[in-house]
Amino acid sequence: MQSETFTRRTALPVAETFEEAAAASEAALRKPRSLWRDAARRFARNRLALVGTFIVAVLLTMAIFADDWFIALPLGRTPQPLIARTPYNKGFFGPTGAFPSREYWMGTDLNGRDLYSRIVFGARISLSIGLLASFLALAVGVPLGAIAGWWGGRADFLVMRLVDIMSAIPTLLFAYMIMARLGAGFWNVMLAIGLTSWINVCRLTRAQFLSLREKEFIEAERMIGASAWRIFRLHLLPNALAPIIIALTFGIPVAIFAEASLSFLGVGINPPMPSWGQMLGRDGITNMTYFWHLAFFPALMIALTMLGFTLMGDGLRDALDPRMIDAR
Amino acid sequence: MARYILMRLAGLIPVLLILSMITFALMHEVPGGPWKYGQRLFSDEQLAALKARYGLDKPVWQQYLIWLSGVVRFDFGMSFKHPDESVLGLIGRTWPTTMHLGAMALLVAFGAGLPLGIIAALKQNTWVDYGVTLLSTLGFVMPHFVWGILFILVFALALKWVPTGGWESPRQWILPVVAYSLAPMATIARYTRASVVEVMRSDYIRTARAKGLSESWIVRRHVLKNAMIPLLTVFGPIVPDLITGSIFIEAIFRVPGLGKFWVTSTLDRDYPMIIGLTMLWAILIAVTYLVTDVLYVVVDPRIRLK
Repeated sequence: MQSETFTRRTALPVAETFEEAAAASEAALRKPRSLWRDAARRFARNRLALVGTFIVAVLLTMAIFADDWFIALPLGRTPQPLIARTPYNKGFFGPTGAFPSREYWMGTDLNGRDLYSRIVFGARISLSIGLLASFLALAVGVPLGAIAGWWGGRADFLVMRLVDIMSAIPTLLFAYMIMARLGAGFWNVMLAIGLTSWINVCRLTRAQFLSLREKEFIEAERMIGASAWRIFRLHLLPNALAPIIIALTFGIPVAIFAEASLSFLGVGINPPMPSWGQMLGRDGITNMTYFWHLAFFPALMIALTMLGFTLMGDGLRDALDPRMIDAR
Repeated sequence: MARYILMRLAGLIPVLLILSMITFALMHEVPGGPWKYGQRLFSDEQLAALKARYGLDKPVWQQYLIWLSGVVRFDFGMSFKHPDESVLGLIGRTWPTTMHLGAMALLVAFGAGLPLGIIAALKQNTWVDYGVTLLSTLGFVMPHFVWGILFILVFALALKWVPTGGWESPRQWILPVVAYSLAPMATIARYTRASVVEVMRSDYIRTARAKGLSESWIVRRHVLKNAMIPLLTVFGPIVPDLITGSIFIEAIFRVPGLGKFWVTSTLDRDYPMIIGLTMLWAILIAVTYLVTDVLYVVVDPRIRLK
């Protein structure tokens, strides 16, 4: 099966040089640490990963505190902008198409809305769709992959044929058709992206479970008569968790990219709700010969978001992969 | 080997059948139709006549069977949006431009990505490595429409080195090709680096060193050959992806190619075109995986096809 070469990387650490062996035995003499604490330590030492985490943290702050919905919603009043300067749909905040200045930090769009505020609210849309769609992909892909990998036989055959068919589908065309069927909107975008992106997670989980099934410690558990649920809970899930977390981290930027693409094409998020892809595709490219800021800032935000999540994912992968110990 | 290839191709038929059924059902589920979408150009009688002419008045399963009987005779029907062209004719007319763009992008992506990845791995943890990693991360994370827009802003509008779009002269090819090739180039460089690094740490490389072989011999004969094998699965899907075009690149740089139909066919409810494109993609993907698997056997004698 393809891509297994890159996914089956959770083998035990093998000391390849004398130094490595020495370091490993020294590590064994120190007080025992869990895989997760080791991973956290490695992650914290990785500068690029910290940069990525910082970008993601800033974006999350923008997304959550764009306005004070968490106070306003329970009180039943309209949310007031916090980080953003105006509500995202407030028109004629300034002159139409103003260039960036001290008054309008990123300029205003052609409806006179503050571009900075729309960019901040765009973070909320992008991040929530990225997270929700990735979790949806996980919710579909992990159980299917687990069933296929663990039971094998007919279940495996059926799931893998489904994966074959799904991977032969042109993703953009299908996502676009689903959007045309359901209509534009936040939840529909999330659904369209989630339903077209679970294949990788499914393949990965299957590969993990396939290789785990044959491991000695699983066989030992079976021998002492452990129930399937116990094996699943104590052994399969913890062992398959690291690659799944990595897949999730890499899935988020892919989903954000997909949302931006669909909105760019006009079937994702409808105005006045802002989305970076939509801002780029509607006003951005048609007016960029003159109003360059309408294209520049959304493009920058998409790139920064993708960069943040990718760096974080790289760091997580390196931290959670025991074979990467002492590689750097 | 021949038997294996034939078996794989035969296995493709049920996949295509099921896929075409799903697509057929889904595209007829999408509300609206090819002639009443947006504008009202036709009277009710005309509309009924048009529907009857193209068989859209029949139940969906009958339409599917009619379509299928055409496909057997290699007839994928006429495009609704371009009524004087068949689906195959339309694809045949627009695909060469897209393939031209895609082939050039592939050339740039592999021509730059492979050496970058190899150099980064050989000079691991030096500034060369960090530079390549930074470059490939940037290429990896920026959507190609973002690159396209930034390139136009900088090179066409600010510096005025190249035109903003069009597809007539080689000067107009530069920006779309570069914008289109950056993401695959980054992917290639990333995975090449990872694979070469992994091979460099393997036992047989240590043995080769211990035998006193020269470093360049080791790299050429042992490292590169073994590092390329796992990369086939990564490189394979890049090819169909690039030669089928991108609506973003074609829209931003005004390239008259196939890419736009991946979206406009659904927008126009051009049913024969939608399903024709789906089949085209499915066949391309299947052939790519088949070629990758066969190449595996060719480059690695340890692998046998079942």
